[in-house]
Amino acid sequence: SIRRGARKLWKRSRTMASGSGSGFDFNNAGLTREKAEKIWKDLRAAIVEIQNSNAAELRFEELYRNSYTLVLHKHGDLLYNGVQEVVKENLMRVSDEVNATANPQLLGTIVDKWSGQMGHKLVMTMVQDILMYMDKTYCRLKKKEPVYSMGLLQFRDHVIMRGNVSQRLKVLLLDCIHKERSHENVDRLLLKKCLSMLVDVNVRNTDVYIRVFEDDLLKTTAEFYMHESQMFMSQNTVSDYLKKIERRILEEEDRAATYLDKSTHPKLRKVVQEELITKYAKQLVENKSSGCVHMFENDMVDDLNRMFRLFSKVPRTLEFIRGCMSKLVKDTGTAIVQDPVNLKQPKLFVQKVLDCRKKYDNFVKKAFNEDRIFTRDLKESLEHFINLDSRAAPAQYLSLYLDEMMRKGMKGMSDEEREKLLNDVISIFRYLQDKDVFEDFYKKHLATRLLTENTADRDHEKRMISKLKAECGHQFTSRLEGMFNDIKISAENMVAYRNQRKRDVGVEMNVTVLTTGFWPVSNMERCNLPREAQAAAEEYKAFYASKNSGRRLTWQTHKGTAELQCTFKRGKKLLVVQTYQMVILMLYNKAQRYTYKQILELTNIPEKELRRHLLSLAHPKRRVLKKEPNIKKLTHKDTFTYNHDYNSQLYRVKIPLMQARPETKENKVPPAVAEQRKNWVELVIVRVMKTRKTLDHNSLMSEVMKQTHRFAVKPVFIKKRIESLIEREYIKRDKKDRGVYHYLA
Amino acid sequence: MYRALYIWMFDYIKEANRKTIAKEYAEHLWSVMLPAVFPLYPKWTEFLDTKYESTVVKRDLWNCLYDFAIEIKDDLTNYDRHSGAWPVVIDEFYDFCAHSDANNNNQQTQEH
Repeated sequence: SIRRGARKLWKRSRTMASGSGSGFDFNNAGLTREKAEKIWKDLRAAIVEIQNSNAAELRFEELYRNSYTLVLHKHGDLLYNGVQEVVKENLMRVSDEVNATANPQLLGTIVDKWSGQMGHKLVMTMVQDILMYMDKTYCRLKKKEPVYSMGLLQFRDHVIMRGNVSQRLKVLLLDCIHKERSHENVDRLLLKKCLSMLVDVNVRNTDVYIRVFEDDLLKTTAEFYMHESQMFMSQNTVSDYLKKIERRILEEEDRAATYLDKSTHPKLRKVVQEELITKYAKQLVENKSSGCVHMFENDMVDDLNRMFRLFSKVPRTLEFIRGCMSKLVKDTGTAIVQDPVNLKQPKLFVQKVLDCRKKYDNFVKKAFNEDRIFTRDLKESLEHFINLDSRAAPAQYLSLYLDEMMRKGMKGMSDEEREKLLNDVISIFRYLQDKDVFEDFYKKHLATRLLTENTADRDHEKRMISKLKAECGHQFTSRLEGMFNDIKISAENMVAYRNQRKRDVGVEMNVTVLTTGFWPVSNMERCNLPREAQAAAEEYKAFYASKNSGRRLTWQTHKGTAELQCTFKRGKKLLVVQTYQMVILMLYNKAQRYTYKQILELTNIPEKELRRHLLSLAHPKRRVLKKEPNIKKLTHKDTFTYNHDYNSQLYRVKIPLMQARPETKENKVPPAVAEQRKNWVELVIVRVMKTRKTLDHNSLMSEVMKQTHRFAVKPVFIKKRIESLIEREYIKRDKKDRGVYHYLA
Repeated sequence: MYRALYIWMFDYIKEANRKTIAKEYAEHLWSVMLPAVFPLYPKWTEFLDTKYESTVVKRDLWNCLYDFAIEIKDDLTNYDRHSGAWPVVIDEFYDFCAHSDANNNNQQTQEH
């Protein structure tokens, strides 16, 4: 069957089988050598005509038939060798012409001879058409190269590889590419055709292409870019260098796509990337004046993105960028965490940590396309410096920050802003190692807020709780809900109480009853309430007992506030004070002056608290009591006198209480939390052992670690708990193998 | 047999209502029972004097110490700190020995 396109080459001949043309013999009686050679001679002439672009007058079917005949009558050798010979002869002439052509025209000429209007490829196509039968039978049988490819290979041998043509081609081709790289114009189509020629001419593989062109292309490319990158590096900032090489890389991609063979693309890419990126990756990142640190510090998102994109082509270079980012985050963060200024102000501390996180989060999103490994590295770096401090200070600071925000910091913020703030806190919470320390503080602060703040709108409190619940699990909020409930019920109780009160006791009270177990534990010590307060307290107690039998109420006098109407020379004032302060001040109904020692004995308030409450009353800024000597230091002999000269602009005055120092300044994790941790680990050990009955040491250790998420647990810690449980006979060691434990029911 | 005797000694010395024995008694017993089987015994006494802070000895430590004495080589090379499941006190003893060895080596090089 003839290719459709080939029909165009051949003039349609209407005469088919009916026997025109000379020498046709249907007689199957064999073909003599003489006759065969005659047929061949005709064929040969026809081929020469084709080679001379005179195919117009030839008749395809006749030629086909002739070659068919020859092959059929076992004259295939004659035919094949003859064809080979005539092709060679022609090519020799072509070769002479090519060799004589000067360099400027060489590419054009050889391409024309190859694939031009009456070029070799076309000639061979037509020859193949005629000899198709030979291809299918003789060539297959004798394992000879089919005609078309035989022709191509001959072109290779007699035109390209003859003389110094291949060297000249090589030089010319590489020269063109160099020109293009130097931003001159070249004839790309011609190059493409020439390179295709080199590829096709070796039929089965690209060896000629590689030998004549590709090997040297890669070599010269490497040299070119080695030189160029050296120059760029020495004369440019990192960001300019990246811009330049980005352009170069795009150019090379374009070149490859336009006229280089596909097989060259990956090899070329590799060379270019090696010279421009890989060699200098580390240097680029670590450049002191314009490298990554500079870019991070100056918010150069686009440049970092460019660097990321370029480095992504050679993925292992990305680790330099990541390394730089991680180190920078850790260093910046460590500076924040260790700066004494920050350590004094929780709000500042948290704000700075948040800012740091936001900044680098932004980089990861915008510059690094949210790459997974970058995201992971950032997370690790943040976790690293946030948890550097083994005293779990960040956990405490975060909770202090949250407390401040909840109390007053969020006034005037829109809903969106509040939501964002809570989310920020949660995001830092996630990085904390000592999550349980945070929770502990959070609960304490929440309890205080619930008791002292009068916010009717507890919305944001509830939202925070639900966020923490999402992070920590259901367990976390169960008791918190109890706290809210207590508040609600106490309010209802107060209404009922006031309604049923028959006589006026003289002291207005507002009582909140806290269910033990829901609220954080605090050490309560009694004090001597003044008579009036005591009476009111008793009455409420009776009321409550009538409604809830079997419950015991204990007054928490270390909390709570009181409003006292006090008489001064300049008029009456309503002082809002802590309960203890109320107890102290009520003493002054009986006398004007007391020593510290006396106050201590009369009130029975714990000394540490007494100091704080008493000194607050005598504070220079609001001297409700006058202290002698008027210094901060407190001794038993100091006296406190009621200050009749006290005055204030307002009628209702809130007396602030000096802050107690944060409890965990010196210590490590708060003791309550430390205790909880011990219990937790023991609980897990017992639970695991109960299920498995027998378990080896390593498995037990890893199980415990797997189940502990809220704080970082060290192996030594677990070991100690195991030993404690052995001692208490919950588990025992195996008699034969010390490293195996058994559960003791 | 000796091991069984050693294990039993703990209960013999221990008071009925207690779970542990006084450090003093333990030390006496050890001085009798261990030197023959425990090459690092001198180091152990040193450790008891300097680093061991508790005033009592728990049964688990008592029992495991014997195994330690028998199983572990003089140079401590076959001691497995991670998976050995040794009591924490014995880990501390191991650290104590390693540390003092390092010191000795330092001193020796200094003397040179």
